[in-house]
Amino acid sequence: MSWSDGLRAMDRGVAWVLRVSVILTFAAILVLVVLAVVMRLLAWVSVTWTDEVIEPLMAYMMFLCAVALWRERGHFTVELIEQMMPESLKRWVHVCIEALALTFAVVFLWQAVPFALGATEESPFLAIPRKYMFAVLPVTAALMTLYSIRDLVGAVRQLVHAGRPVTSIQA
Amino acid sequence: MSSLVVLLAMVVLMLCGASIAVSIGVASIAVMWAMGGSKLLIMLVQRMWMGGTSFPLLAVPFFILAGNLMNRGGVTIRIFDVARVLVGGIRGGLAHMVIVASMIFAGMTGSAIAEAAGLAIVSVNEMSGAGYSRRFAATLIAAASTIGPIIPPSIPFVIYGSLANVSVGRLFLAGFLPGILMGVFLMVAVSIISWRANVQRSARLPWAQTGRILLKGIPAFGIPIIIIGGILGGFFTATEASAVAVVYGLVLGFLVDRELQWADLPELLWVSAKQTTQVLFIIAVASAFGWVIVQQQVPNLILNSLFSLTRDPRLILLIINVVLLILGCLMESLAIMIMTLPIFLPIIAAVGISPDHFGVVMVLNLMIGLITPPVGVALFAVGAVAEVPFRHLAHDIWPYVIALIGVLAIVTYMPDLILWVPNRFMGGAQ
Repeated sequence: MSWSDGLRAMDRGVAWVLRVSVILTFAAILVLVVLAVVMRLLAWVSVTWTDEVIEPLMAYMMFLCAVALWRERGHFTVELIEQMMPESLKRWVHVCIEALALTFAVVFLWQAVPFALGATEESPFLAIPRKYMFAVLPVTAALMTLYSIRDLVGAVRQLVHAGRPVTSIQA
Repeated sequence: MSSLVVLLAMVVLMLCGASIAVSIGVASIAVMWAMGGSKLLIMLVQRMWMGGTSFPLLAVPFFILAGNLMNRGGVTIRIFDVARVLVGGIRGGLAHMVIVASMIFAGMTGSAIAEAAGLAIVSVNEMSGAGYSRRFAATLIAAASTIGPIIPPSIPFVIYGSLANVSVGRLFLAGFLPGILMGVFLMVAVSIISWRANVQRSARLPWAQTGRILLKGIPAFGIPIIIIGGILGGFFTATEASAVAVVYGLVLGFLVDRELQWADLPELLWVSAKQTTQVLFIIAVASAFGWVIVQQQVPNLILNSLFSLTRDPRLILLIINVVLLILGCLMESLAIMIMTLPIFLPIIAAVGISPDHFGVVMVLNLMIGLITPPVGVALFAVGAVAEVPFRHLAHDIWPYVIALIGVLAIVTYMPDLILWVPNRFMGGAQ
């Protein structure tokens, strides 16, 4: 197995983990919200602890899914000017955009690590340490950084190999 | 001044194809860095967490999931059949049917794009089979889909309520009359087009078939009844109502219609989560952007400039409408809301405009933006499903845009009418 095959296998593994995690967290959030409603309406019991679990679950769902979208370039884009550009300029713009996406991801990672590690509080009812809740932030940022490096390398290779057939753009 | 340059750079980045989240994020980082070096960058992460985990926003994934469940479970087809019974027999009946179906569908999902895609799949082929051009059908569906987020439930109202700290329940109720007005105005536009094109009447369905269709359609109306009834009756919040709507959709799909399989669920959850995150991640990043804007006192600068021109609330609303309509032609609607809300909220507060009323005005503007070229997201969505080139849709959409601007004028300048429903059922204005 070549190194690029290994990277592809890792990428597929990450994609699978992200998908399963997001589906499970989404299902768990639904169950908890419905449970809180049912308990309040039918058993007249106010279940306050669910809010404490829902907040981190919502964050895990959203941030992990954001990585999945980042991986497949599924975040909202407009591309109004880009469509009117000549191919050569478009390739340069792609490189700039990927470089900016990498900048965002790196700054996010740089700030997310101390933010998560520095959290000392716990949630009031279940005493869940906030650092475990915030742990999703550096994980998200690190994965986004890796995928941004992949995309930037791909964009640069496209620029360099412009006019020549390219066998493999993505590592 | 430097903030304005960064703002401009952000818009250019977006138009050049950078993702909206990255454009907003990079602009926020640049201004934070300019304001206080690396010390302030921690605010990016802190605000992203706060923005992305706000409890009211939990309604977004649930409403999206409920819409997807109904599209997959066959509810959309039954809504279309009910609309056929109601207006199928009049001149241009199939076209009116799309609008009525859109209004009914609006009571079940809060997303214009979900509605546009769902209706396009069901109705374009039927309309083209009945002699309408695919181009006409697709344009109409795109226009009608804008009703979705105005009639409750509504994802943009959830987001507005969360960002502006306004009751989502009140916003939902405030959307009722404007949504109905949109339907009526679009039907007038369709009648004029049908009369000029000499479209014939469709045959009425036999009574027995009418009864069967209405009977099959009844369970679909449970979702709006649960959502609105539940909120008005104080049984649950808008967020909880969205989760209950999902449960109802599951019951319909598994037990009543039996068109859903357990194997469909993971894919439905996954697709809905992705559609949700496309929205929530922008909100998370834009939360940092909102902080930057306030720190830079951009709202005050714009407020002072605006007040040097006028303090008349009617003129200010007119200016805001023009700004939003122009932005709607160029940018994605959610990005506009998130970027402009921190600027507009202090302005409307200063001149005494109700935030409930402004919420409806803003969301209606943004919905018109979904169908105005060159960046008409609903036109792209319907064009892709109906296989109609974007330029045809962009050419034909204008009669509907004019009709909707007529509704916008009423909504903007008749706040008492718009707020009558929330005031009647939930007490006086905030």
